[in-house]
Amino acid sequence: MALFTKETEVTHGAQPTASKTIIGSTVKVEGTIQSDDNIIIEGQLVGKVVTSKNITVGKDAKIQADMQAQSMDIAGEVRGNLKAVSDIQLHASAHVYGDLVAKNIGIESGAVLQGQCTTGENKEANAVPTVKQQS
Amino acid sequence: MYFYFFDKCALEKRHDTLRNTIETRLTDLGIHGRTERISIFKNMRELLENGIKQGAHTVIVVGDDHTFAQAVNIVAPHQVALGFIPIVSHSQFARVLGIDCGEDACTVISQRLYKTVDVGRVGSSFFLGALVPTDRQQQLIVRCDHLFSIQSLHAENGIEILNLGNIVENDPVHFSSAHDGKLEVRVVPPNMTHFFPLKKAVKEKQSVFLAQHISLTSSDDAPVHLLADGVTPLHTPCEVNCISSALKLIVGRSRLFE
Repeated sequence: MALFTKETEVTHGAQPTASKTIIGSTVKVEGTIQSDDNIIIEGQLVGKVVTSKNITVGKDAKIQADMQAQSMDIAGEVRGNLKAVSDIQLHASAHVYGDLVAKNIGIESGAVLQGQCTTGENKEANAVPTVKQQS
Repeated sequence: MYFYFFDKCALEKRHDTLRNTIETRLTDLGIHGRTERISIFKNMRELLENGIKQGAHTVIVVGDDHTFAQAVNIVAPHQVALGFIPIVSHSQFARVLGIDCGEDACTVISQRLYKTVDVGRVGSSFFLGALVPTDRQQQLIVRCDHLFSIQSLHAENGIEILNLGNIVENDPVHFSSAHDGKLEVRVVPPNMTHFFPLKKAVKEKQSVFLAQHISLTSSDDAPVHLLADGVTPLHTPCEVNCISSALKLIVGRSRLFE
C-alpha cells in the first residue's frame, strides 16, 4: 500500500515561530494595536490594545492604554482600563491604575491596584473583541 | 513552456562542464525549454519579460543568490512559476528552497512541487526575503497599517522588514510565515548576532510586529538606504506592502519553510 500513498512532506531545519506581537524592552509604540495574535509587552506603549487572544505584560513594561483581550497576565505598570473575557491576573510586581472587568480576577500579594474591579458573568465583558481586517 | 535563463556567473568558463551537464539532464527529464543567456546586449529583465510575453509558464533561473533575488523582482508581477538552479554550492536561497546545487536541482524542478508565497512590494520592486537598512545605525521611523508607530529607544537597534526571513544574511533559525498576508517588522538589539540568536536575555529585548502595510521614513533629513534581498537598492521615504500569494515557487522537500 505504501507504493500508492502520498509521500509525507517533511521540512527540515528552521520552523516558523508562533504568530505573536512582541513589544521588546527597547521599543516604544504609540497608537492602536489591533491583533488576532497573542501580545507580549516588555517595553513602552501609549494608545490602545485590542486582541482576541492573550496579553502578557512584563515587569519592566510601562503602558498608558486601555486594553481588551481574552485574558491578561500583568506584571508591569498599566495606566488604563482592562477588559478581559476570561481572566486577569495581577502579579506581585504589577501596578495598575484603572478599572478591571473580567470573569475572574486574581491579585497576588504586593500588587498595586487603584480602580474598580467587576467580576463574574458579564455580557459586555464576555464579548470577544474581534479585529476588523483592513482592506 | 519552460524558460531557462543563464546568468553571467553560470556562463563562466569554469562552469562549462556543469552547464552542459545541466542542459543534458533537463533534456533527459523531459523539461527542456527555451534557453536564453545574458549578454552585453540583453539584460535579465528584458530576457525574462520577453520569455513570459512569449508564453513561458515556468521561468527557471540558473546562477547564484543574486540571480534569484533579481528574478523574484522581475517575475513576481507576472502569473508564472519561478524555479532556481544554483550554480554555486553556497547559495542561501537554494538552501531555504530545498534545492541542491547544479545537476541535482534539475530533479527538484522536474518534481514540480510548488509553493505559493507572499512577496513584499516597495513601489515597483518586489522581495521574497527581507528589506534591511544598509547602515543599521541610521534611525528609521516605522508606521504599521496606519495604526501605530514604532520607535526604537536604543540607537543601536537594527530594524528589519521580513517576508520569509533575512535569507541573504544567513538567519537559519527564524523564518516568518510567507502565507499569512503580513510582513514582520523586527527590532533587533545590537548584540543579537545571527550566531547566538537564542540567548534568552537578548531575545527578550527583540520586538516583533505583524502588518500588511508599513511606512518607512527617516528620523532626520537624510534618507535611509535600504536593500531588498541583498540586491535591490531603495531608500526612504517608502511604502512597503505585503502582496498575498503573489509568487509560485518550485521547491524541494528539504525546504526550510512551510
